[in-house]
Amino acid sequence: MDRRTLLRSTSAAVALPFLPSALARSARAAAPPVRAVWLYFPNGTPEGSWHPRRVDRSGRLRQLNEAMAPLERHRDDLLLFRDVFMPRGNGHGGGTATWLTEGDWDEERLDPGGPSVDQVAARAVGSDSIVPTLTLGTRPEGYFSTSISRNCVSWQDSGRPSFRETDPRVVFQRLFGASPETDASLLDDLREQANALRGRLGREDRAKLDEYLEAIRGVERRIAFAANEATARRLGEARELGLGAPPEAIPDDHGAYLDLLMDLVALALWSGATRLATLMLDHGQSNRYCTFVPGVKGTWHALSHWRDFDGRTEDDDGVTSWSSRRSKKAMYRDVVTWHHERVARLLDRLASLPEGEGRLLDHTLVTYGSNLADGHEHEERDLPLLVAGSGGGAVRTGRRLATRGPLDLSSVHLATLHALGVERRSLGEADEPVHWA
Amino acid sequence: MLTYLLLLAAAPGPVADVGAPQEARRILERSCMGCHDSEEVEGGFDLERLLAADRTSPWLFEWRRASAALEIDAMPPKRKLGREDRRVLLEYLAEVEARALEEGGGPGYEPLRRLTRTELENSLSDLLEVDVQLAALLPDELASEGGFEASSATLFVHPDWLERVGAAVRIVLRSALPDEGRASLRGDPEEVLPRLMRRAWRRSLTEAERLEAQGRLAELQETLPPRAALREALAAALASPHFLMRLEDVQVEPGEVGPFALASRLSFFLWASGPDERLLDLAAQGTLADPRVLEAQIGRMLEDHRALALGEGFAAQWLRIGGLGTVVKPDPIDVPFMTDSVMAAMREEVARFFLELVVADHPLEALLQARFSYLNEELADFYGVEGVRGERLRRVARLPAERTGVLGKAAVLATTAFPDRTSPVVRGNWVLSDLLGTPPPPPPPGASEFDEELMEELEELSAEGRMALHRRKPSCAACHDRIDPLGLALEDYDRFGRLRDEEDRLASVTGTLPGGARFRGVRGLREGLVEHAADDLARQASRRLLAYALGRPLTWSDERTVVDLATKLREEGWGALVRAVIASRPFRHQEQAP
Repeated sequence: MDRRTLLRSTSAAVALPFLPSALARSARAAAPPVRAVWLYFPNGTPEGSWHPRRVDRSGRLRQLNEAMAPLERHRDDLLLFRDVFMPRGNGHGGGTATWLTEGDWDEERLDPGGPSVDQVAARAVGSDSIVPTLTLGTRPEGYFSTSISRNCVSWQDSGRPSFRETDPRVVFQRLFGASPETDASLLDDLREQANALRGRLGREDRAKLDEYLEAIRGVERRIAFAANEATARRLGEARELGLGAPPEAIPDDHGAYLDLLMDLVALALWSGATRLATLMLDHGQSNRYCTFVPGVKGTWHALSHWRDFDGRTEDDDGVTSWSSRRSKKAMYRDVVTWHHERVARLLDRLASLPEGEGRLLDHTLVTYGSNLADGHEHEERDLPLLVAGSGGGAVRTGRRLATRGPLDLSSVHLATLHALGVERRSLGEADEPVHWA
Repeated sequence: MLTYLLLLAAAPGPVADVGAPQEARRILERSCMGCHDSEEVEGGFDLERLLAADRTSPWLFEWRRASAALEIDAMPPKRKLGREDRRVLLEYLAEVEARALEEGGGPGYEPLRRLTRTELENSLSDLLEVDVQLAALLPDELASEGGFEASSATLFVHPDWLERVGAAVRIVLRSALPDEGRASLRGDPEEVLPRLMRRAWRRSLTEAERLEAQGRLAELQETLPPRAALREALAAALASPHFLMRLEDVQVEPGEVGPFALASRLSFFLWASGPDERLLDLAAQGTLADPRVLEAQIGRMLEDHRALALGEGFAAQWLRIGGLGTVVKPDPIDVPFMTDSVMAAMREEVARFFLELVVADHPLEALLQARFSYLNEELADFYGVEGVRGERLRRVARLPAERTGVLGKAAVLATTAFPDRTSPVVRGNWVLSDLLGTPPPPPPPGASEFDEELMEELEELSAEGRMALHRRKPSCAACHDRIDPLGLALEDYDRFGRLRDEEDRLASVTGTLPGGARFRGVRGLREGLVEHAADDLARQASRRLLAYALGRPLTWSDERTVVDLATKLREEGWGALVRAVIASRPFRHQEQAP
């Protein structure tokens, strides 16, 4: 290390405000902090493939649906719901964009009606993490790949989607790699330039420039985190548990790719790099060819319209057709089940990482669901939704929650916010959180 | 508040623009409010809100949706309006339109935005004199449906983005300025740095900025070899908001934009890149806005190779052919002739075709009727044109009749088809929505639900028969009578844009254009559009070009400017349109910053 580099890193350490990492805090405090993850999947799930097969009188889960088989091993860590709905609509575009927000989708203004819950939480509890919240998704494919509404569940604010990262390697480097090739004095210069301009701008343009300033702060956090010894220690431990740096390129194998993203979520939560994450298993109208699932042909979205099997509707690619509704529906289900397996693996990870007296999963809330029920009808009642992990004891799992009447999705989001320690009285139409203790 | 009360007191009754007169209001409330009140908001159309507003002009775009539906009698879907009621409403809506045009024409405000990936790529290429590719280093830009990539509404700065730009810039700098070997940035580093910074920041540096940059360079030179030091100093300048964001002449007060902002508006419009030395010199001298100087510069810029950005950026986004080769990507095994290279040539053909419309100042109708084009060998083979050799596209004076204008271009035809077959609805809708800017109303609820019987019947039918079938339902017919014939006329081309064999073509498609004129076949469609839809076409082209040039979504107030631009285009052609955009109020002026 030459003198200048040394100088830079020390000046970075000195010039920066002290940012205690969540990890350092957790070492001091008695209970580890609660984490939250929201996993979104598109195109819904075929009718009859979500509700558990056997539930006893007290609501205890005895056996999950066959289509949920991969999650069976986590049955005791799950909470299932019934009759969940989104009061403000649930289409492929708007329903995706507002899955985590409390407003209506306005295509003209690109407005989901406010920030998403992960961002609400990030503002309240994310400031002591390197990234307030991690925003991940798979690299989109086919039609609608650049459609904002379908590609964003996380919103910093109305009209301002969070930046969704799709490359595991890039995220890993960002969180745990060497510091960015920059030094604190440069960042100070850039900040000064922006601040000097700020006063000369109108209100709206100032907000745009503030995005830039915020971005500078993000880079600074990263420098601080990379220099944190506790982080280095946890990363070493993680590597021994098989959570290392992802490969340079996104793997061609879609399963391996999703597993890398899931691992990254686990690692980020465990290391204290963040307490919050969203991961879109795919964009809201995924037209990905799901041929990686054994026995399946056609795109995910086409499969979800399983009642049309002749391959001739405008959802189809025209090349693919199916022999019967039955077989098409089975493929649709297999695609969803295949994704359940990816989620089950994340839960395996969270259950295997020790923390405090228990497992990381015990201090995490994983919300997993979709904005559609049965994809063919774009069914809006009884949306698939589950929560895994007890969030530090906030949730009593292993059951299906008995609620009366339709359950507003926002009431589940609100309860998650409360478990994170975020004070919020209402969210959307939900005036109280779902009672899940 | 006090002023407001005084105004109210002074005004004789409500403000002049009182919204719908009693009669129109009564019809709307009786026939439309059942589905379009603020509760139901069917189709996203909230009539109650419109009627409650004290002005109509700010809601022009919403009111236009009502006109579009009423003009073709698509609404109400079931119980149609009586002739007299419809007349009253259409008359009122015409008034709304006229009033908005009268009140509009303000300069509007171009909000601060960052550069797009394409603009960064071009700016860095120009600055460092190397060919910069950023596709692998920065993510694709997201866009709104139908919006341009370079729009302040969808360009955000995130920490991740900033960091990736920083990393990308370093990679680019290392290849442009390696430790050893070719020196592309000539001269003394102390002199190179401020020169490049001026170019990157798109304005003259202040004395303080110059000294500071040189000071930083000197500091870096103490520990680093000369090239590495220059690289570091440049990396810093290129991570600055002055480079990444459009901050040339910061202006809060309303009025004419500053000279450097004008230079940038020009260069991002025509080149999708920053201004060159010449433009910056003229801006610094304060002479750029001088009409003769400006005209000479526009001419020079359009002759420059960078002007192809108008075709690759504007025309490709307007005509929506950008997805060819990425979103539209036929299987290479099943469809071996749709190679990446031929699809790239198809896109470039449209870009070069459009650029020539502008540079050679072709009239409006040339967009649909010109026979010249640009082909390379592969695309010429695809079209069955002989005598074109090599990979580079070159001008061909006269294509076969079936390749006339944009309606004959493979890029357009291939992007307006489904992956496995053509769709007259998609092509027809493209003509109405994208080309003419007169989109049909969205299908009524349940429109796409075909029952089993219908599906079986469909299988037996030709494309034409299928279309006829779904026009049998009255709720579909209102729109599909307009959409389908336009698309059917383009059925001569298959889903890749190849001309079908004679026996596979439909015998004489006839249809009706918006406005009522009849046409026959694709040739009749072209002629009919030129004759009867020239006004819509001119307005749509003007609207899209203005939005592209301003980098913001248009507002109701811009429609006034659009009408003037369209007149220019109809009377004087494409080059005049580009010049008129540059001369327009929104391009040259800025409203009070919000």
